[in-house]
Amino acid sequence: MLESINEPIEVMALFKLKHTMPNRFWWQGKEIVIQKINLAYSKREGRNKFYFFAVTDGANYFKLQLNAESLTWTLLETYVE
Amino acid sequence: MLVDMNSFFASVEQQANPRLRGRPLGVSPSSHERSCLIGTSKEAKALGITNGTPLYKARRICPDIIVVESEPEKYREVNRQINRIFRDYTSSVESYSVDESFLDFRDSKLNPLAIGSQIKLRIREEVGEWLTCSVGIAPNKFMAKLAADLQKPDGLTVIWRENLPEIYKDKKFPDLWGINRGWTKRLEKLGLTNPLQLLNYPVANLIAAFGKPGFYIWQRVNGLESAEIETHESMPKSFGHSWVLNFRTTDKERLKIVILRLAEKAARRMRQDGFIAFGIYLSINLADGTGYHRSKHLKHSVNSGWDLYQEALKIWQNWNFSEKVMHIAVGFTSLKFKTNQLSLFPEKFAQLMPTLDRINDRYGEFTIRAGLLGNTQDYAPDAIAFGR
Repeated sequence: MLESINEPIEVMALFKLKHTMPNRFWWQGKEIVIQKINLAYSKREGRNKFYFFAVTDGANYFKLQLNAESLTWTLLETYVE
Repeated sequence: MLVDMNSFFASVEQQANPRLRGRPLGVSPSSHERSCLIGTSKEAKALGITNGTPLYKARRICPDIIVVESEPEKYREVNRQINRIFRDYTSSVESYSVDESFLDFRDSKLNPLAIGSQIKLRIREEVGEWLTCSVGIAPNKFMAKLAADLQKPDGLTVIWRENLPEIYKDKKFPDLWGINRGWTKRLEKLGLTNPLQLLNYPVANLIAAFGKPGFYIWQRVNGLESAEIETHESMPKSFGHSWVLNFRTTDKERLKIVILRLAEKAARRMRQDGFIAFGIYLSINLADGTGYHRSKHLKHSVNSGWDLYQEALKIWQNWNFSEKVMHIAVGFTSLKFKTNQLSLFPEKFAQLMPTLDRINDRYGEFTIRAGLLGNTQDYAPDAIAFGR
């Protein structure tokens, strides 16, 4: 089932010419290396824009959010059996 | 050519989260047991859980079904990416709905069959490997839709007029695009029970019975439809919002607040598109299937949610609900473009709306709002139409 997390996290990301690619992040004392970005999309709230990344580390699913105004990352949810 | 994305909302969710793949999955606008699934995965469909199934029924059929709340921005983004691929081949693209687009190749030297195959491949490679579509290729839109429906999921089908008798052998009227239950009943009165009979039916008899619409039905079913691809948004006829409530009540005081929130959302969209309205409508559906519906023409123009709310309250003051309300729709009709002509009599609140809009543009919807709308953020959240 999907588990809501909503925790600020540290992320290493590549800011490429046309898109942003989170590469790895740290959560619960562990380094999680992103193997694949399955889907990326964005949402506006007023002048602020949020970018969402649905990613997997090979086994687990995570949804990350980048706040474009504050340039902070949040782990929004994960999926546990 | 019609490109119809298979089980679109559910497939996008399975694309985002691979742990959902190969499982019965439903997409719902809310977690309320009575809310209906707007998307179901191929695996859920195989169990008989289709779009429109209420959540409690889906759980009764398959207790293990996974239900996720819909995220309209996710589907819009995938829709944008797919449409970008279409425009690499033709500028004549009609986005019929979020998961269906018509592409016109009649004036093109490209081979539609090869393009259809390429589009399928590019969607999987560039947008998401879990996303499949059914492509229908035919001389007109009705037949392209018929062709796409023949092979689901992941089909690529070409049909010609000569194929229609064979295709219609297994079809009933409601299987055809644009023939609803009403038309099925009307045609049955003429002794027509399936499309094959309509194929050879004298068109003059249909015109005599139903007028022009009778001709159009005959024309479509015979593969002679001439509807063009609509590449530009046509002039809107209305701006409205509706919501299947995540609670049930007969309490008009509570329902009033829902009307105001829906009215404010409709008004924001209408103002953004530069319209004013000279009419409104209000529609209330009750849990027992009955309802109240009324529209009203106004002598003056309106453009704010508060105006629409006030007019809607005038309509419903004599309505008393014996059953609980489950669905509310409210909106503006009789639209005109707003002009900047100065009014002879200065409008008292002329600057108020643009100022409120600027604040909400900058800080987000409902940042500044009527006091009645405090703590109503879970009323009528962002939603996406799943049909047309």
